Amino acid sequence: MTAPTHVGDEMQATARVSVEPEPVIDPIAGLVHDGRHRDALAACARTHGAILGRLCMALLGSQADADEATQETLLRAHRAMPTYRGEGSVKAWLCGIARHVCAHMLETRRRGRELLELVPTDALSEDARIAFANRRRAREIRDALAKLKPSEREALVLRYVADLSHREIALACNLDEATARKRISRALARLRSVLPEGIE
Amino acid sequence: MSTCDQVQDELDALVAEHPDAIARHAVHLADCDACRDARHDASLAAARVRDAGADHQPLGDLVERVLAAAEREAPAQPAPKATPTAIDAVAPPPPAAPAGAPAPAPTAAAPMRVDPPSRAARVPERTPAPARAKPPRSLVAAAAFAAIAAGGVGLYAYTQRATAPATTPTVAADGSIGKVERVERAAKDGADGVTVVVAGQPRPLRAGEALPAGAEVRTDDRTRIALVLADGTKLVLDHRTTLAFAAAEPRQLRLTAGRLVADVAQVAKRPAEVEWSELGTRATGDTTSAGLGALRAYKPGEQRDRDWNLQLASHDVKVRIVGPIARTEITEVFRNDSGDTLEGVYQFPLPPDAQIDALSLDVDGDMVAGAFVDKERAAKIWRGVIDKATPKVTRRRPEEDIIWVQGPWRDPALLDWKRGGRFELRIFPIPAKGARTIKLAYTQVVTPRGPWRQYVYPLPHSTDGSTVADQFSVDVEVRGAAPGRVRTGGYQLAAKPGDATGVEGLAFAQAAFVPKGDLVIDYRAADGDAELRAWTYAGGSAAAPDDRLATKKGVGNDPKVVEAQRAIAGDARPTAVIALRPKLPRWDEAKPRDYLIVVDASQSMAGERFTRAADLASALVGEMDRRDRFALLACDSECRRLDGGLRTPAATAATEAKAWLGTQTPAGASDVVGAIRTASRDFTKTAERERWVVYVGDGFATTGFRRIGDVEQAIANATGADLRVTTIGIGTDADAGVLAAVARGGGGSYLAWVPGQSVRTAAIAGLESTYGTALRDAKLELPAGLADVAPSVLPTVRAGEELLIAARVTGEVRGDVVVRGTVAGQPYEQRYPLALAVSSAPGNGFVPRLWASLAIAQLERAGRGDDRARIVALSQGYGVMSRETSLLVLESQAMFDAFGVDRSAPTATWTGEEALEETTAQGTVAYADAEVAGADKDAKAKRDEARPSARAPAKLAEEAEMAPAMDAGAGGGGGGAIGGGRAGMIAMRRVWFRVPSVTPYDAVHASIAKAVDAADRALQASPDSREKHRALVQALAYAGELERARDVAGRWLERDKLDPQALGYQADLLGREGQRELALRTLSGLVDLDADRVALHERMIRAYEQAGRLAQACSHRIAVASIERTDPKAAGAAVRCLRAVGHDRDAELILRGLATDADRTAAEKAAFVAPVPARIAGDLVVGARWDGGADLDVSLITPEGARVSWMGGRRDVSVADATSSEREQLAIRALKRGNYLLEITRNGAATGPVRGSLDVSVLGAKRTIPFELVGTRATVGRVSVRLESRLERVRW
Repeated sequence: MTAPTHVGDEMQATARVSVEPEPVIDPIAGLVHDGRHRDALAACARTHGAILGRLCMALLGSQADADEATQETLLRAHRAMPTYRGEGSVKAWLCGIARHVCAHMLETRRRGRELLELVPTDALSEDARIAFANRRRAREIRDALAKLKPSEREALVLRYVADLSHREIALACNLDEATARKRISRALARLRSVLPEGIE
Repeated sequence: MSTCDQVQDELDALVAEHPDAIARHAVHLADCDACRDARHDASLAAARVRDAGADHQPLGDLVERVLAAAEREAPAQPAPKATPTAIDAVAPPPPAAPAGAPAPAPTAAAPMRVDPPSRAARVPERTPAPARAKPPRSLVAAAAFAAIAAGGVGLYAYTQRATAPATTPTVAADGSIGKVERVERAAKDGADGVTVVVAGQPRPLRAGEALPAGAEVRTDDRTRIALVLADGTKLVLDHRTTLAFAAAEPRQLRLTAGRLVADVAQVAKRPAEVEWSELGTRATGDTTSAGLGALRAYKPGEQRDRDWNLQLASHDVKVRIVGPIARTEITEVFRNDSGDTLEGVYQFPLPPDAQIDALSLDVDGDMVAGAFVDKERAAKIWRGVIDKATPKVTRRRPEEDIIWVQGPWRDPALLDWKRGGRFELRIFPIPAKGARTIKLAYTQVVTPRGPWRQYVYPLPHSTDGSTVADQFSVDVEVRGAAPGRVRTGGYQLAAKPGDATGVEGLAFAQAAFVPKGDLVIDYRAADGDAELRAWTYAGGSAAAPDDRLATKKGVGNDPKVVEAQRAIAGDARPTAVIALRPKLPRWDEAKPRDYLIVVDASQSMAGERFTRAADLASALVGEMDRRDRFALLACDSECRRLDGGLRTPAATAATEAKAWLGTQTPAGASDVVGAIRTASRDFTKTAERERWVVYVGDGFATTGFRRIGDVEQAIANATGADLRVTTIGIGTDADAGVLAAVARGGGGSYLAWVPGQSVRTAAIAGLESTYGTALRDAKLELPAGLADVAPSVLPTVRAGEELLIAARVTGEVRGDVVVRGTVAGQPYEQRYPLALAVSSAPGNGFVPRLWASLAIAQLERAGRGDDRARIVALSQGYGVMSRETSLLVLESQAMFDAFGVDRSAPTATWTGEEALEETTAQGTVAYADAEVAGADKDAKAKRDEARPSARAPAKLAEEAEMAPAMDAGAGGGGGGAIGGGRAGMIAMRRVWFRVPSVTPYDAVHASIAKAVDAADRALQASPDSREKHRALVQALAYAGELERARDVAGRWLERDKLDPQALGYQADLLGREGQRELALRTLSGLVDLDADRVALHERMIRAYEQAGRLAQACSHRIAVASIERTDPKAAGAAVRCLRAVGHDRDAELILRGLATDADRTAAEKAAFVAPVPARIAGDLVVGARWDGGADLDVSLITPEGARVSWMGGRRDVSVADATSSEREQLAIRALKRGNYLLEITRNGAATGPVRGSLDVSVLGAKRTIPFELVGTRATVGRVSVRLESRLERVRW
């Protein structure tokens, strides 16, 4: 009688395929789960602060606004921790909040601030010219991004600046995964057409 | 879906080289070039996007910040687990800098914008300060300083060289580290506005309260606070600022957000010259000394600037100093990031002695040099060019205001003297997404400071951040300085490699540059400290006018100027300039003195400038000899006096003086002559005391006498021989010309409060100039061979001051230069042997221009209208700026020719890179037994009022509708069908007419409340927008929410102190609140912002005449006469007014200022023609009658929220009985469509109900509305004018 064995083998094989690997528990999610929200907040800031800063910078284009948005993102996350359900990664969750915060700031505060953008002097003390050139290049890319639809811009930034997967982007943007993939692809195609020549 | 579409949808996966995607599309990609290209492009784009946020600098203390913020959000939550407090969590402060080394580089500071800092601000320890003793009357270098730490700035106040333990008490006996000196809140809502957090517990902090150790102080967005620490340090926290004191060390501060001004008191045993960190500028209150540069952009055809994206892309400064002469070349690139073509207007300060000699503008890649042109003519040419680029429907100007020449024109630039040391540069066009470059050059004699000379480059510092330059560089070369004796301040300039021997080269460059104050270069001459220096130059005579252009018709050429320029160019005699700095004995006079300290409290002094003036006035009192006496006044066009007559100076008196000045709000126009005259009126003369007026201000004379010659003569007339006047200029752009004229007229000295000078040093220098170390009644005797000497009359010469004397060389010059006069009442004479050889060295090429500048100054001082042509001719011939000329750049030679603008320039050029030939001499003092002390070492010591809308809807509608009808009818005749037109049709046209209605006022309409909300939200969304501020003030003013409107207008003014419209609304709102005097004063402040606008002066004339204050009205009439200098009627009106108030000598000055005898006769004639009173008639006539004896005002509130009343508000308003206590009439000649409100205001406080009625007649409709006024103000009626139309048959 080999059939049952075969069946059992098949079932085992199926089980091996369908069961995902032992989930790696995000330590921050663990802190949230344990109700140690303050520690979770500190960990979020420590672990994801830099990526959130870059994400917000890419969307807002101003160091001060990006700093403010980063802090606001973390504070909102802190407030929302009691209801955090652990869907997706903490990083994707934070990036989703950051996307909302930046969108809100863009709608309400951004106009009239362009003249005040400054290169942070920490960088200046090292090499002002390089910092300034970086700044210029980043600004030109942001200018090009600004010509995309907001939804496309956000999807691109989440993908390439925050380095999120399609699934994480889908979660952050309330989309299904296929739509997220399609949106990023189309945004990429459009971006190339609006990027000025010579940005390298 | 095609395969190509599928590839498009999976580009991201293909870029990421996802195996499934590759597998799916590999075959297609191999075949389809378009898709392969798309994938390639997408890969490149994806790589770029990764850098979109790469320039973000992560916050070093993000964790601490969010934890602190979370804690603030939920104070009731359980204490955090072992999380450091905000103070503890600060990253360790940067290591102490070694002696002499600069402090750590600060982060860039944007004054308006506050970025959270990443480092702590620390005040250094200091040695104990000894008990203050009265200093001797000599220079005492005070080490007090101030520094501004704007957001994002980590600041070391000075280098950490002083390592003495802090034994000065930093904690008071009660354990507090200081106390709250003052709290200022810009709202009357009763809220506290300041919070102190101690041990995590927040509580309000109020004036006078003690500050506990380890406290964190926070101000909200409407409150500022001044703190005094136990060790004497003073701190001022701006709005929205958070400052924490370390618990263990009260002098260690952490600025988390906002802005901080720190003033650290004197430190004993410290060097007299404080070494500054890279951040610290050398002056106290450096926001003022840095000037107020502002870059604004206008779209052609628009009257108001908007938030256009115009930037200063680069700012390069090249300085060449040879001996005492410096040449500065500035290259600036303006970049327009917007999508519109713009006109850029850039206001910036230059040193008062800068002789501008060149301006050029890039046109198609080439720099085109400009020409000096009569100021009025240049303005007309400019308007002609701008109007050409302007939509015709929005701009109409009288033809006489424009010089209009056929041809394609573009690309002009215009540089004008504005006032004091401030210049205005206009550039047009700055193309969309394009840039323009300008070059400007000036020469100056560098100011001596003891044995050193101090070169100062004022760096424009705009409070709205609009003068931030993307790239900034300075390149300095100093020739003739002693080796190692070149020092720089304000910025860290590095030595340039490879310079020639004898040349000290310095350079500085920074990207994303935010000016933080003046650039200062001190150097000491290698050839010693000669008292007399002389330079000569053969050649370089004035350029003759181009006959072809000079005779061109219709381009505004003045034959008198042409003739004068020909005469000047014909004079080829060599020129000479002598710089004389006599060493004066330090004699003192025993006579006690009475001082009247007059502090300029006009609108232009608002802000930091007035604070500095108050500090200086207080310091003057503090440093006075105790036998002296003083009185203190704050003056604009009127004066207010500190009670109590002449007082004895003492520390308490100094404190009182400062406190009293603190209660004075700068407002109103500035009448320098009037202020000094008013101040000295009650100054009793006594035989045993000297009488002095010390004027402290910026010298912007905006009403009354404004021309230098008039000011000097008027002051001389007013003061006489026994009253002297000394002036102290505040701010880099103070009007040195006017202030020096006041001092000359008053027999005193002019001093500028220079960068690097502490308030106490400035006060001592001011007092010393009155004590005796000054040469009075000075006379100069020059050897034969020198002619046409300027100045012909010498001013009072302070110890250490340098006099410049210009002359023509007519022959051999050999002999003594003799200076005579009195020092401290004793005769003084000094001789300098002089033998001049005429030089033709290229290094002396500056001499002819310097000679011309001094000759122009001499003519300006004379104040004769006849001399104007000669001033313009000298300016054009020698290529130097004057107050009567502008520098104009046009596109091409063809365009210069078209406008008849002559660019002929003198042949002599000077680059500042060649050695100069000079003659020096030391003096021999001709007196015996006198102490010849080096006293000199002690001397180290707009735009038009924005119109609410370009044109009335009615007018536009009329034109829009009428134009086609008129066109259609061309050539028609008779009635009925149009001949040759469409048979059977009747020509009709739409005619618009106004329909009035008058109703009693009920309540604020819901739509108005909605508009207020919308404007409020719009402002919140764009808190930096001038337009949004304006819209909200208008909406609130119309809705009657006056207090809120004033608050918003106040914030608007805070953002831009020079915004005339904000000030106009402030005045309107004050008037509506019944504060008539303050409203008038505020209104006259408009004149201080735009002193050359005749309409503003005329408004003030009408208002003051309505109020029965003829002296003030006269003052504005004088100003109009000086602006409209070719209009005898304006002069006649001023003469009539002055004679009516008994100022006959002033009337003579007005007549003297006219150019021709014919003008004087016409003015005399006009002076005898009585003005016709305005007729009370028009579209709207309101007659008010009431009982009760109160003084009520009737006003009309326009749809834009502006007030029209006896104080003006429109040109066509006429008012009768403005000061009556029973009636008043107000009429408007033409009323446009809109909803207007009629308002009654009581002048002063309410004393009981007043009953009366308004008889309103509007466009034929009449109605009487009764009213009862209980409080100060009541809105009584609503007048509506709407447009209706009908069709009318066209009659041919």
